[in-house]
Amino acid sequence: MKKFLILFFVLLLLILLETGFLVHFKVFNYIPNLVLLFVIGFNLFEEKEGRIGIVLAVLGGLFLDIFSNGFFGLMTAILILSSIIIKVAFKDILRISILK
Amino acid sequence: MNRRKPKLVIFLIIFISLIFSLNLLGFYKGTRGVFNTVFSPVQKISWNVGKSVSGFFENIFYLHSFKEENEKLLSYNKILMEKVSDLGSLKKENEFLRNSLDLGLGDVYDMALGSIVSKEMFGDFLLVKVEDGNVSKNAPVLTKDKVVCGKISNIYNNLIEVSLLSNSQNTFSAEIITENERVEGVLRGKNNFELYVDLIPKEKEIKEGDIVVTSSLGNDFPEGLVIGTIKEIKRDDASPYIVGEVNFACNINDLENLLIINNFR
Repeated sequence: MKKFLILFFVLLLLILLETGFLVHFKVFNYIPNLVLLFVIGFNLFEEKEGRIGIVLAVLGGLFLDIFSNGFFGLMTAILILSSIIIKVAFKDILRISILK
Repeated sequence: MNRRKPKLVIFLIIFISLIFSLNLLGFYKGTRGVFNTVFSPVQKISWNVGKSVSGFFENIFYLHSFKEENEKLLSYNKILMEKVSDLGSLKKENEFLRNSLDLGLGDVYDMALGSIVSKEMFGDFLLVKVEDGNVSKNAPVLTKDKVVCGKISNIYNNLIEVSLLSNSQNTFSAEIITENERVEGVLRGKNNFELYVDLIPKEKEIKEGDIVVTSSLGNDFPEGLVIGTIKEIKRDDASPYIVGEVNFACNINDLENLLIINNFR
């Protein structure tokens, strides 16, 4: 629960940074998507059986959907799909063929 | 294979379907409104800190280009001086009319003041807190220098969502003020604060630095408000039209407050 709360506030902080602070630091007119990077990074380094990466994807996706104007749920779906793909592809296929 | 996995996948599919179906009920608008209202004070602080810090670093990083930029501005100033002298007679006439009618933009329209809270995650949308007055959807939003930024696309209590002209969903009519005439074109957003004027007839002589203003066609904005300047002209031999990339004058890095015209139309 403690871990979950920490991650919740980290995601919230990233969103608030991205929608306010980072708008003034555009790189070639683009603002880096910190939530996406954080969720993908977390899933890459988490154990295969870990569930926190998926929970993080759900939370991060919901935050992205809430603080944007697009179709609600689209970013949630994309992040969940990305974390599942990372867990399956990077942990099964890539580790066996490349890392082992 | 873990037996919990299929259950988890099924649960996630149901969860996503449920969220997607909420779009049909319009549930998301209320949720967005609540979150944006709750976090708007923090977002406002984050915006202001970002603005101050970026201003500080901009001064350091662009110190070397100041001389070059100054020379450019001096030469541009000469061109503008010529234009000002040409517009002198029009100004007199305009002042006379304003004085006789006792009108300013603020007198003609009911203006409300708003302060920028944040930018939305995707697309060129700004969240603005309305300080005073009631606002309506599709109302034009300007800077205090009367540069058009966009129009209201959504209203959440005392927060409004402004769709910037540079938003890719936006298309408006615009005019380019050239040396000889005013050329009509279609202004389209590209997101990331970039926009361009399309459908400019090939035979028209437009050049870099020409000013782009709002047009009365379409009745989206008051006529003659500045949008930006032409920064690049793209010609395609196969097309009967030319495209002008626009340097958007509504630079959100310099902005804190915006004006909303309530009773336009």
